[in-house]
Amino acid sequence: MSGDVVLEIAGLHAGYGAVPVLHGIDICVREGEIVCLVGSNGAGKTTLLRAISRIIPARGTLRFNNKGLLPLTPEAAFDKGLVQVPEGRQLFGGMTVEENLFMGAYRRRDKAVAQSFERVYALFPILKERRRQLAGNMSGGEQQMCAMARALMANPRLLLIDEMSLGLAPVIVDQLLVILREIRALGVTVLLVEQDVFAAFDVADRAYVMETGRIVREGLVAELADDHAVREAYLGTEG
Amino acid sequence: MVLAQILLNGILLGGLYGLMALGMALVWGVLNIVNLAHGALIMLGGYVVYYIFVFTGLDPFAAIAVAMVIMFGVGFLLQYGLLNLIVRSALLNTLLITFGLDVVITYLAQFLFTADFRTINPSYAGANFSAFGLTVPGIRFAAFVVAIALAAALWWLLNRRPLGLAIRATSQNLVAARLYGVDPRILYAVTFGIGTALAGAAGGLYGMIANLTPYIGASLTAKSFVIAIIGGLTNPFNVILGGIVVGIAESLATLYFGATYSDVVSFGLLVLVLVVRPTRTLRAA
Repeated sequence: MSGDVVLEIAGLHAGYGAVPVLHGIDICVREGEIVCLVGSNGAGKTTLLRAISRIIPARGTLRFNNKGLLPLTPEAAFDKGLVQVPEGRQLFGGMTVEENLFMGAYRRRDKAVAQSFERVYALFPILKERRRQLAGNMSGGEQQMCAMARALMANPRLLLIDEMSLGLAPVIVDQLLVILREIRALGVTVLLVEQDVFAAFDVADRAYVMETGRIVREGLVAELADDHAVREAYLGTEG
Repeated sequence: MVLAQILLNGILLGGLYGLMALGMALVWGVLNIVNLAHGALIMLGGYVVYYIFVFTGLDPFAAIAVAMVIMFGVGFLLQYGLLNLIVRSALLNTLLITFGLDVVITYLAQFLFTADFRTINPSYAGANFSAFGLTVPGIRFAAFVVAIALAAALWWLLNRRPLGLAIRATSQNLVAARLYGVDPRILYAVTFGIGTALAGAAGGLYGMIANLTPYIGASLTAKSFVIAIIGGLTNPFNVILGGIVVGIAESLATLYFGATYSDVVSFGLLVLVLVVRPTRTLRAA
């Protein structure tokens, strides 16, 4: 399970303008893992993802496959296989499902895009049925699937998923968790950012708990689920 | 029969109007810039075609193809070097800077080309043919065909090519487009270049039908604006259709009220559309 370190973050500081949000984050993600990052609203989870994707400036250590990410533009980081499924799906609402998926492969110059379409449609059969529909007209769950499928079209090495379960019915979230395991089985490493701790702990190997820009707990999901502080704060089932 | 002839003239003229508005609608829709220099770029394209025709003797329709390449370069550089500075800023900034650009291009044209009237006048300029008892002016018919062909080409680019997908994606969701590796600065420059190339083609056709002077820009901008609002910003064929609506309206106005009223009619049409279907037009804008 624990392969080479894919993503290494140490002492990472980042923020917006003069407002610091992250105060020295340490996280590592290994090949083939599903790692989740949980924390309440405003903890800085999305900011961390933006820093990893190189959308906002940051300082500290940020390495992907042993190469420094900090000097890279968002496009260059994307080309290295660091692909994000943004919060709120951010689909191209006026374009069809198929066109959205094609945009995931926009930077790819290889000939295997057709195979990627097959792979993605096998994971999400509903998207194959809906491929001519406008992405903006689908249900929230289908849109989340489309957003994840679009990311897979980019051939990611590390998939960053921001608030996968936000606004979705529990039964849909369960489906997505099953698909997430299948995605991992395809050899894609996943960093999942979630407010829904139940969902995140259900699928992840390890977890980090974030509060006000700091990592306050980390460990195997099984251990953290028994941690008193975590249970009290996030699972609401103390005792 | 007179009415049918007037309608035909309006449709043929409307195709050219639609082509004029095509570039403006594209730039407006994708970059959110209401380009007040659009008419000046049409004028510039007209002069480029005129001088290629005069100095090389190249057929004007071939010269239009060359001019489109040149105008693409002009548009690309304008966007990359200048307009990218204001692309996501307030509407007023884009209006100010493109208005300034309009003034600069107009007076640069007056300086370089003089204020004399110019017409692109190939040997077949006066040719026409008859169909269904109507007289079809050859050049206007050809201009109409070119306009439809360019609208079809734009549609094909936007809906069937990766570049076009990226253009639409960026206009719909800039954040996501950036996340998936689109460099907006280059993409905006290419989009503005395409819009300018289309303006150049419209200018060349305009110069075969009417007189070129450095001062035609402002009224062409206004007409393009009206048509872009009527036709919407997303589908090239709707823009051409908007142009045809305006073309027919102007022709009928000329017949019944006199030529001086043609501008009144096109802007009256704009008011009418905004009153009758404001939601659709607002969504487009």
